[in-house]
Amino acid sequence: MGRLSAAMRAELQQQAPDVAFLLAITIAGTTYRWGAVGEPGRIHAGTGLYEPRVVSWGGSIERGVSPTESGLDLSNDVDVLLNDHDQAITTILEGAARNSVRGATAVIYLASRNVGPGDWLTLYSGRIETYSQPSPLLWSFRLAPHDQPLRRESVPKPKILVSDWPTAALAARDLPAPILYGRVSSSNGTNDGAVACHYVDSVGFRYLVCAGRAKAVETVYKDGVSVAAANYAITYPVVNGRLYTVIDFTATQGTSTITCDAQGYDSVGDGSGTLITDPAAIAKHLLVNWIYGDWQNGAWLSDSTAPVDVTSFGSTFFSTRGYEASVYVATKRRGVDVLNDLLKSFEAKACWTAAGTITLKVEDFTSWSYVSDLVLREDEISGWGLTYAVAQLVDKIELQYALLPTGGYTRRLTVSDLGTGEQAPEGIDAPFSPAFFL
Amino acid sequence: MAIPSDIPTLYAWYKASTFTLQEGETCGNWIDSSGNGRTLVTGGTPVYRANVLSGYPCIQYVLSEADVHSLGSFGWLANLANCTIFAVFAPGALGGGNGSIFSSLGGSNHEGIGWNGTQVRMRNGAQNALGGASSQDVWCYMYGCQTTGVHVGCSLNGGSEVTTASSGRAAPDAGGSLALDGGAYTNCRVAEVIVFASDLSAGNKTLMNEYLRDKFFGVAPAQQEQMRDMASRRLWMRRRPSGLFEVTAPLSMLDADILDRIAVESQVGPAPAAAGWGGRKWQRRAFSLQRITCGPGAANVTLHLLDRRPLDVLLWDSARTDERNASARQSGVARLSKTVAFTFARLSQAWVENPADPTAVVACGQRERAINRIGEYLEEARTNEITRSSFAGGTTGLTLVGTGTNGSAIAVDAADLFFDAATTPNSLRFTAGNPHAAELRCTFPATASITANTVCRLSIDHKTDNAEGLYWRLQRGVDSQFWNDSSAAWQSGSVDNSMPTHSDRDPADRHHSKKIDVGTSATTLTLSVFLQTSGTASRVSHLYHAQLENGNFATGRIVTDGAVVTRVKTELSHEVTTAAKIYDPALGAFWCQVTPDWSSADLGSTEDQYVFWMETNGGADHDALFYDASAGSWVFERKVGGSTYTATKTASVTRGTTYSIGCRWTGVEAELGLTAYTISVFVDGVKGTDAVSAAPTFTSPENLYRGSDATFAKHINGAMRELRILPYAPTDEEIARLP
Repeated sequence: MGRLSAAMRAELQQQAPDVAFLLAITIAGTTYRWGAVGEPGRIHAGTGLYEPRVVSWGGSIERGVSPTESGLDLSNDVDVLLNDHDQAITTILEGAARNSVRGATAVIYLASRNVGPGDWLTLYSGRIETYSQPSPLLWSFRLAPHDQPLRRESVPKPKILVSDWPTAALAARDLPAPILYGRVSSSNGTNDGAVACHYVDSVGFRYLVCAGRAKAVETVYKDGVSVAAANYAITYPVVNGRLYTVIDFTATQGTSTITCDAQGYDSVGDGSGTLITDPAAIAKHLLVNWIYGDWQNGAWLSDSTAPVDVTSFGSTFFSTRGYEASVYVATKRRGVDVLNDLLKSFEAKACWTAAGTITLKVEDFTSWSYVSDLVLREDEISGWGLTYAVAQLVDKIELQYALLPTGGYTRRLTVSDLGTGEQAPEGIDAPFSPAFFL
Repeated sequence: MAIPSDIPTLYAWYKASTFTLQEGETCGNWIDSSGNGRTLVTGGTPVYRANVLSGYPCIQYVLSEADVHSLGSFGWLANLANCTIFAVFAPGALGGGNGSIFSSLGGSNHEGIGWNGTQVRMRNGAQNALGGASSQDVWCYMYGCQTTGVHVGCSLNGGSEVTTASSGRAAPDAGGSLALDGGAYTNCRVAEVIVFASDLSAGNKTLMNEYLRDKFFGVAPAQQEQMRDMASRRLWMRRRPSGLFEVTAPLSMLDADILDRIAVESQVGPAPAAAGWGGRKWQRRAFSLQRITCGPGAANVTLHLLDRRPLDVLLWDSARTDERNASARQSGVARLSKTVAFTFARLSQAWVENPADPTAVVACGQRERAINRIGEYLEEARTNEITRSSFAGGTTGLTLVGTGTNGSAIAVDAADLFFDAATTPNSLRFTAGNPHAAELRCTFPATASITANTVCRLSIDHKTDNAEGLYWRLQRGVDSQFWNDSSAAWQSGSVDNSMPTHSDRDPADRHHSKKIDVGTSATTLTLSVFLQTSGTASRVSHLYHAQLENGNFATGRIVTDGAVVTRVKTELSHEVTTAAKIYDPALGAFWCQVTPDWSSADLGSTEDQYVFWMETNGGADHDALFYDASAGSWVFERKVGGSTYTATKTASVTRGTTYSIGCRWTGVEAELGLTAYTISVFVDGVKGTDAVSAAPTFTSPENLYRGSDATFAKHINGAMRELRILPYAPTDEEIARLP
């Protein structure tokens, strides 16, 4: 187990391991290999030359989760300072491939002359975010993970455009076409419709439920009163290449407000699959199809189109506990914020892997599993100290959940630890917790 | 919301939540929350089940005479001619019962509510009102009512009341009972029962239905449970008093990934006899890695570690070495669970100080440690060895007799080892000459004087290669008397004490655990192991280990050999291979490391190798994990009521290789998405072919045998390390992560 190969582990457990940090950057198909100044250029007989150019690795290479926050860390950058005494880097940056430098792949390895390259540890994987020349004959490269789609305020991507819906009501124009996962329903609760429907076709009397195909529209409401099924049909038009779910009324509904209870996307994308409800599966699906990708119609996008650690998102932690998420995104937001809302709703974590992918983690305090391979002896470590501020300790979680898009949070729950002396509640919202009533 | 005490004519009210018990514990009497004092008396073995329905507990009954709650003076006949009875329950299989949930006694004349296999019902003698269809193992709330001479009625889950005309009563008994009608018992789980001495008005029935519905079937119970769990995990993260530690460590810790568990070993307490790391007491603390920062300049890593110690403790490593990756460092594990704590102390000998007190575990012998259930040391290492021969030095220091006579010989055999080569020394090979004319004897040096009125312990590990095996003789120096093993007494004449013959070395042999009272005077002891003069030629036996130890404990102590296992609120096990009461057949897993001293290709077809055997149903049934020699597979076998179910994993085995062997069983709740009572077997984290068994029956306490079947006829030949029994069903991934 573990991230190290057996050979690399053995090397690092030596009294004085012979290791070096290496940088490989691929620009327009050419890989440039650089090591620290002072290191021998040829690290291993099986590899090419690693020119000694790295003056500084920018302090540290860091990744992880926060014990108090659920969100994915976007400040996962590394600043590398490179010696350019022979202006070789300048030649690259100003040469024919100058437009390919930003976004070029960058990998940092932990290598050893005693270990084959196949066993070297990938310490960091990302792209060149930007570069600058802080002084003559020095270049600084800022490396970052492939996180641009997470930073953009672009989810949901589809909008209700006049070019797609020429007769859309004014109030609906330019609104995002909502994204819908899981069950979002007012049935047995407020019974007035949980999902607001946008009037996108005032000639055909059509109201948009969501982008893509909803697994089911269970009940349609007009001004909070259920409408007989004979008065409408659920259709799935493809408009300029993009699939939508709409309620197609047989007659005008005037100025009435139309809402519905619905089930979101299924595993196939055409309504024939199973409803996706597992929070881990939804998180991956969101990342692949809506945050990194822009799915429009047909089969869902392949997982390989987004930097996701597929194995971790296949976690059965949530499904074995019966967790179901209800996700409804109807306002334009940053991808990372949507993802973090989902993580927060289920106390899950996400972080970057060394390979530059997003991985899902859960701190399961009920687990007894014990990995004794990873053992540190007291005399091997230093700096032992408590850094967890007492002021951060809480004794009570006051949770709001079951968010109905049309009605706000409908439930509250408090979990307390009566055995502590603090009087420090934390209020949190779970926006993508189950939004339906049994 | 109205509660039962708001409604007139409340007669009795039973809530499972009034018990203060842990999951799986047996219940005492069930108090009456109505204030009327109609406490139901336990039959002895109803079981408390925690957090079953919307966080509320229930009581489980399993179709037996002891699995009831009843009260003979309940006053049913006199007071409940008109009544309404509410209950929240999940019916179990009818079996031989008739599904009565709460009723009077009186056999076929009984009155009360129940389930007939398909519907809930209210019964008055032969008159039934069926309230609606309800399935086995599905929770429901219902009520039954009667107005004598008018009707009986029944309602399920708030539905309409179904009534049947009633012509009168059929003389029920005075008693009132749960899971019993006087003629038969019931499989069921019950969370709450409310009895009113009137046929309530429709309005009051609605109020009580709402009370039960909201309490146990809140508008969205599944969501509440999920969110409660989520918020609990959040609170656990935010109330970490032990906190987040930041430490700097070698680059080799880049092996770790985020949220991996990491153990940090700290030295605690003064060093006992031995010097250096290996001889000191150690404590391990478990952490979860939150963040890892690699500093290329400093060539180290900074770890942000979240302390998980209260939930995952590992202490004490008797086999610890200075080598970082020595496999032996994993042996000797004490574990502490937050909910169902138990301790496993891997000892080769132990004295139970007070069997009635589960927290005071043991005193222990040489080179051992004992710990209590919260991981504290109870006993330091002792140096009380008298004679301990492991033949690392060959026959040096031993007195040999009879060698050289017609080929009789005692010789070091380096090729035949006890357990694995890494930890054990040579054996001694006894070969009888042809003809065998003299006792072939190996005598160990006399011990130093032993305190009067104390107990010594003798252990001998041996193997009979062919024909008759080895004997032993123990002589007391103070008066030259000999120990007679049959009578457990000293006598003047010489005694040849026999040992069982084995074709294999046999670590679970009871011969290991001989308790010897040295008598009223201080004395020395001399031990001999030998082949008798009489007998056939060319007999061969191996002696692996002979040890005589001065426990220096007062006579009367219980001497054990092997694992001592205990659990909170249970008694201790007393015997080597009969560790009781830590096993829950309802749900759980067993896991250990096994190093066979055999290869599968070398096994005879009947030489099955048993890792553990757990008796169930009073010994009539069992769960067992073993290597099936004829099939060439690891098998988790469950026997229930005469039927045998097996989960198998075909695998060849190589001598000296350590395997991670585990098995898992799910319970009635169909955990992990598996069918209820699914049994699985794992080899090195890889699951074999599952099977689904019938529901096992557990008559606590029952016996757990490790390293053998229940008859001691089939042992595992090899080493077992780090045994774990988990009182929950771990996922495949969790089992795979066990080391």
